Amino acid sequence: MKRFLSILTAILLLALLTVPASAAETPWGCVYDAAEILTDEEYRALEDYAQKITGEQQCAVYFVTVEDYRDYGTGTIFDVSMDIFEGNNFGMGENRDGVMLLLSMDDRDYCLLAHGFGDTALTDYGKDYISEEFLDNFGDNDWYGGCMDYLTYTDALLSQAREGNVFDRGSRITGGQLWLWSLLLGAGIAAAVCLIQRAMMRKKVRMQTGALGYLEGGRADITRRSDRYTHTTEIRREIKQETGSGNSGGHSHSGGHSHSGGYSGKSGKF
Amino acid sequence: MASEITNYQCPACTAPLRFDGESGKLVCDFCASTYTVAEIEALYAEKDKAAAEASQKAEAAPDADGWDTDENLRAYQCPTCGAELITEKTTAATACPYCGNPTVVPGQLTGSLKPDYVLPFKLDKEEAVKALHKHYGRRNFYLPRLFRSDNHIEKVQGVYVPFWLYDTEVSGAGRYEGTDSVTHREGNFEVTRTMHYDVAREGSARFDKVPVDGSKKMPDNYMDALEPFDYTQLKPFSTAYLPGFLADRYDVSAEEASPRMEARCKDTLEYLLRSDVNHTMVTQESFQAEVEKKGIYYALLPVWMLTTKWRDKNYLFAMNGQTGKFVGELPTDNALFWRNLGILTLILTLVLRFSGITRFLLGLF
Repeated sequence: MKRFLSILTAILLLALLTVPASAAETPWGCVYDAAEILTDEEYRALEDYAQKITGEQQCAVYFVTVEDYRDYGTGTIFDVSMDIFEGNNFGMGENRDGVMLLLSMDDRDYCLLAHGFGDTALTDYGKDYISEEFLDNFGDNDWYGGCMDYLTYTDALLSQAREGNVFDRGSRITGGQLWLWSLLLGAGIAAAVCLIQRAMMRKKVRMQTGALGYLEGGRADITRRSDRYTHTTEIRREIKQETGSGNSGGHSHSGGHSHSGGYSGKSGKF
Repeated sequence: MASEITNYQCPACTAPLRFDGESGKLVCDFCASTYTVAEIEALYAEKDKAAAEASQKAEAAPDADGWDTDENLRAYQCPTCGAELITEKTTAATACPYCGNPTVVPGQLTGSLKPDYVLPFKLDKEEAVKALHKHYGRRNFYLPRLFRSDNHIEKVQGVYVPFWLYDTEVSGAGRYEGTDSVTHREGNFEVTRTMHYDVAREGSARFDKVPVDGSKKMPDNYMDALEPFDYTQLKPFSTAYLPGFLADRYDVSAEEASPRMEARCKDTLEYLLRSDVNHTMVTQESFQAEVEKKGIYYALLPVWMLTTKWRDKNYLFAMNGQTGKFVGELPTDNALFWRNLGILTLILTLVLRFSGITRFLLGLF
């Protein structure tokens, strides 16, 4: 059954990429396991959970696995993710609101893609936060656990954004911590300002260390100048390429892409 | 045994004369007569000579009355009121504490002790007090309030401070490591090539009248900080410039004061040679210099000294009597400091908390 579904998924993903998108409003599936990394039970549990989140948040949440993303398009994994998202008419509503996590198993690449409200709710910082949660599971080949983390934290960030409180830098800090840090920073800055001010107002009297004001002609008479070349040293530093190679590393793509509506994403290795 | 001292008296009314910096003349405060320095010098030439001889004899003679047994003190008789004046051994000009008349002790500034130059006062006591108030600063939040009141100033005194002025030539050599770097891209690599150079510089510099104070009483940092003086106004020494001011002869010899001058001149040459090296990065490996003195002059330079007291501690201020440059360390009121710190902390805490700056900063980590 699982194998049948996987083959069907792969065929569907490829087929849908070649035909014009339909105007379906609700996704018929949220989990596409073409790489067959999930058991039937895991697949059903994740599908149910993803459907539940999608319904509640009115923002489709997808989890897609493939053997090699290059089989589904050209360019980087981010480009292919966008092609899959668009080609399958993913997303909900007028803005095609959605979030998709694509795992490409051959080279252990991943891409977390967001569009519409998904893009609003998952800031770069939010994507980093979610990635941190699932990457350790995927690093240990715990596909189900990683996917559960992805769905859980995506759900939490979507909820937060629905309440008008988009998760971004500093969102994890409590009110008490904010007061404490504000006080510490304020006291530090105030102490620096007051100490500098006090030192300036004390007007300390210092000894002279030079005699430039008494120099005849305003310059020295240089009688010997020698600049003898001795050797050359060379330092080579590797420039990091756009496709990251570290396990937990990665990089972010953000809007301004040729695709309409604006996508943002984070990709890397797991 | 009291020595003889000179009291410059007005030829018209015999009242004491004082030197007025603004006009550059000796002024009688009683009959408003004024006299040039040359006129008074001519009038008092013989009297000054006699006073100097009497002073030398007194120095050579054994103590007779016990007054000047302390080797740091000397006794003089005020020619106006006859009172006996006890001064420090280095005092060259003072005022009688009984009649207030300015007096000059010529024996202190004759022979080998005679200065080559004197730089007359240009600014008066009133300007010194004004400069002190300006020095306090209008926005000095930490200055104790009592300090700003006029009657808090304990003493304002114009002093001719003995200085040694050195003409010198400094020769030196420095060795440095210089590097220049170029960065370019080769494929996936950023390549930085650094060329290393063994650098040497040799040279000399001449300095004209570098001043070092020759008085142990005067704090060296204060005297240094009063620089520069305008040497174009230097006059050949005459005691006629002294009435109305205190003056001391030197008690630090030219040889003793010389190391301070040498250090300053060497530092300057070191800086000049180092500045001549033109590489992106320069590291000094060694520097040696020799100082050759070309001339030493003894001069009296004008300084206004002001003293105040706060919480049993004396605070000293000094003003260049020629240029008006003012220096002096101010006390701070710790209570005001802590109050300001508390208020500023409160304001900053609220601003940081509600502007979102704290949240943003914490988000960076």
